[in-house]
Amino acid sequence: MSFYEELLTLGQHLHERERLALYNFLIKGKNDVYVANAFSLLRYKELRSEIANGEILYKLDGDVVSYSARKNGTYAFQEDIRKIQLRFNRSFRKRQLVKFFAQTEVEVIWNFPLQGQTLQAESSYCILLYPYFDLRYFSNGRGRFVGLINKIKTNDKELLTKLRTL
Amino acid sequence: MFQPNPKPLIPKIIKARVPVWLLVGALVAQYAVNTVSASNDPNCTIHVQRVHQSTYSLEFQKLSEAKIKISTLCDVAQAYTSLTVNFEEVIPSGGNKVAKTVANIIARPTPGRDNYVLIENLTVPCNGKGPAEYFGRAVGHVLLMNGRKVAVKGNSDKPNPLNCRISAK
Repeated sequence: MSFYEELLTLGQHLHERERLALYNFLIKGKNDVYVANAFSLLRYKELRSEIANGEILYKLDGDVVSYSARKNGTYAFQEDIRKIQLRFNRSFRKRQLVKFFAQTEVEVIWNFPLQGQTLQAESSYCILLYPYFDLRYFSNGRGRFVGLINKIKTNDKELLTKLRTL
Repeated sequence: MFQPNPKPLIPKIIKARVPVWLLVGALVAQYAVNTVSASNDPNCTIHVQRVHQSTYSLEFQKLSEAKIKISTLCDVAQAYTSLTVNFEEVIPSGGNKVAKTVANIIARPTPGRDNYVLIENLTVPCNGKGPAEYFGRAVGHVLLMNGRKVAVKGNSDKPNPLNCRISAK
């Protein structure tokens, strides 16, 4: 089992550092898929996707994109878990969507992991207020400048190397 | 024959101009309004369990991690609970220090149980060496489905000694 496959099963035992590394890994590793999905969402206003043990439904309403998710095999979606406003031109929107897709997939992996060795207790759907593409994530909401400094100090090379190793 | 002019028992000046029945009615109405609005005030409680070491992670993944569970329960449906959680280490010489903060967590209730949120995902690795005592502290708010915010805060009832030290790294 690769490190990536292992992370898909950790769920609530997936630590903050691993989630951030996973986000950076997905952004690069699935960029082509995300770009194709971004075009599809911009065109059809709705997109379905799957990751780990979760199903994702993206919706585009005007300039606002949101996602809902449910655990595979369940009926009800958690509605509008995260929303962002798309801005500027088509190229910028596409880049925003790529980041949003990676963020969403990390959150779904965290909350709806694949069945693995690790016991998962029933829990509510959790996210952090600030996504990884918002500098305030790195400062715990204490501003973008502090966030930028903390982001520069962040080192997830070791985890990324492990993730890239098949 | 002289007959004294009897004084009225209640001087005219302090005689109520508002009928007594109206006064009593107003008081009863005010009491009723207060009672109804008090019973409509939403109530939310938070329960912060003791920080503990995840035995499952230790046994099956050889991972040493500290874990905390937090739940909020309201008497009406909630949209989400937003919390900032501190893992605080008890210093032997007195006082305590924040070992780890998980800020701005948002947890949504599971469909079908709209008034309850259980946060299980709060695990932090123990990268440090040696034992330590921790307690958990959470502060934040619950956003109700009707748009109202209810502030919540709580901490675990007493510190728990763990063979697991949370590193600031």
